[in-house]
Amino acid sequence: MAKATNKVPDWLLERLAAGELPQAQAAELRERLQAQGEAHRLAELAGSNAKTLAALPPGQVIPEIRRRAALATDRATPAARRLRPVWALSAIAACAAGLAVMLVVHDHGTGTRTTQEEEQPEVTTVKGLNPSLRIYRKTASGSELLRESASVHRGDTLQIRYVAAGKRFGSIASIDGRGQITFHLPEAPGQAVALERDGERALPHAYELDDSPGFERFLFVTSDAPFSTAEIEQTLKNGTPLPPHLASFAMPLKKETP
Amino acid sequence: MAVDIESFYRSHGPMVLRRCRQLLRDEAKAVDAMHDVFVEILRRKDSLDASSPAGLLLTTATHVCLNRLRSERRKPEDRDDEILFHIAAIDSQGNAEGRTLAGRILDRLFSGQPESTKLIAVLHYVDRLTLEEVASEVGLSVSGVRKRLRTLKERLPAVTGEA
Repeated sequence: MAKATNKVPDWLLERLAAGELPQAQAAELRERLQAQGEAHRLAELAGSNAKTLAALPPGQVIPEIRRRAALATDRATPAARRLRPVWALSAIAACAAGLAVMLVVHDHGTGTRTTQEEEQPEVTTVKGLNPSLRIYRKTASGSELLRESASVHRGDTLQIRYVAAGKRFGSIASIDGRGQITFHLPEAPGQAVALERDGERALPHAYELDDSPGFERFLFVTSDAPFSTAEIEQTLKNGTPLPPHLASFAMPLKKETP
Repeated sequence: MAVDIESFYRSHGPMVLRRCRQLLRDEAKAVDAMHDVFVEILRRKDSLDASSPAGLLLTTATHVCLNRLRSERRKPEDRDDEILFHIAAIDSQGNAEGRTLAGRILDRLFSGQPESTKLIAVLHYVDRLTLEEVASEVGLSVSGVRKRLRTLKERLPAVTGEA
């Protein structure tokens, strides 16, 4: 029984064969294999590799991989999408940009609240205990935290981070001056995703702004229960109030034409 | 990172297939999943960390297979298989990682965010890595791994045993 539990796991055997383990760990695993009379397992991997490549040669497999990759790319890039994911800021850089930010939802152009926003049942006005968004812009030396109604330009690269503040489900979307909606979380319409409930969390992609004029308005909607992104879409498009069980946080940015 | 997918496949394809076979226990499904693992690599080639490609591919293969197991309707063949099914099904039970697509988990993986708790569970409960070995593989402390498993254990039936 002890021998069985000490057996070198296949996972580690593969990593050992690939030469990716730290020297000490690799040596320890080789000793275990020898002691258990299983050193042959390493040699057998080489035989298995040759057998697989003979049965599934690259000339047969690679075209299929490329075909599937092209299909997946097409599905992930709807024609309407105009914010291109480009990179992700490091957590350190993002955190270094500062902690304090107070975001009040205003019309980015006039500084006054819009009717649409006043109708929303629960709009977060102060960051802290409530769910919120933090949007960073890539700079030459790192990143900067954007304030509400900050000026942004075509080509700016933005990293979106959220603070769920304990909320279980959420969705992030934005609308631009042309009325074009982009979903950031999830990245396509569907069900709101389960949020990382503590701390500040980065979305996996950053986004490069296109040339749409006027503004880019981000909306972070949260709830303790699952919901559909369709509810956000209607609010972004028509100013329809969100249902009472949904809370929202808006972050408008001013789009300056070059 | 520039990816020469052909040389990547030559050097690591068989390993990926072995991993998929181990988790899916069906040759045709394993071959199909192996293709998708390399598709994920191609799709995310710009954010690949080339320092440990085998580890990356094994992790990606695990997530791809877990996602497939979610929709499997077959009866588990043994205890490991049963545990895998339970781990794979966690997404649809509303846990901390719940309701996310496998692609989103992979996005996290490729963006350098903390490793999936599900991978940690597979490594420990199915692959039989010790807590120390799991910690080393996923870059967490042993206590961090233990904590992740503790939270997951509440959602797994008694099949996980000790943890």
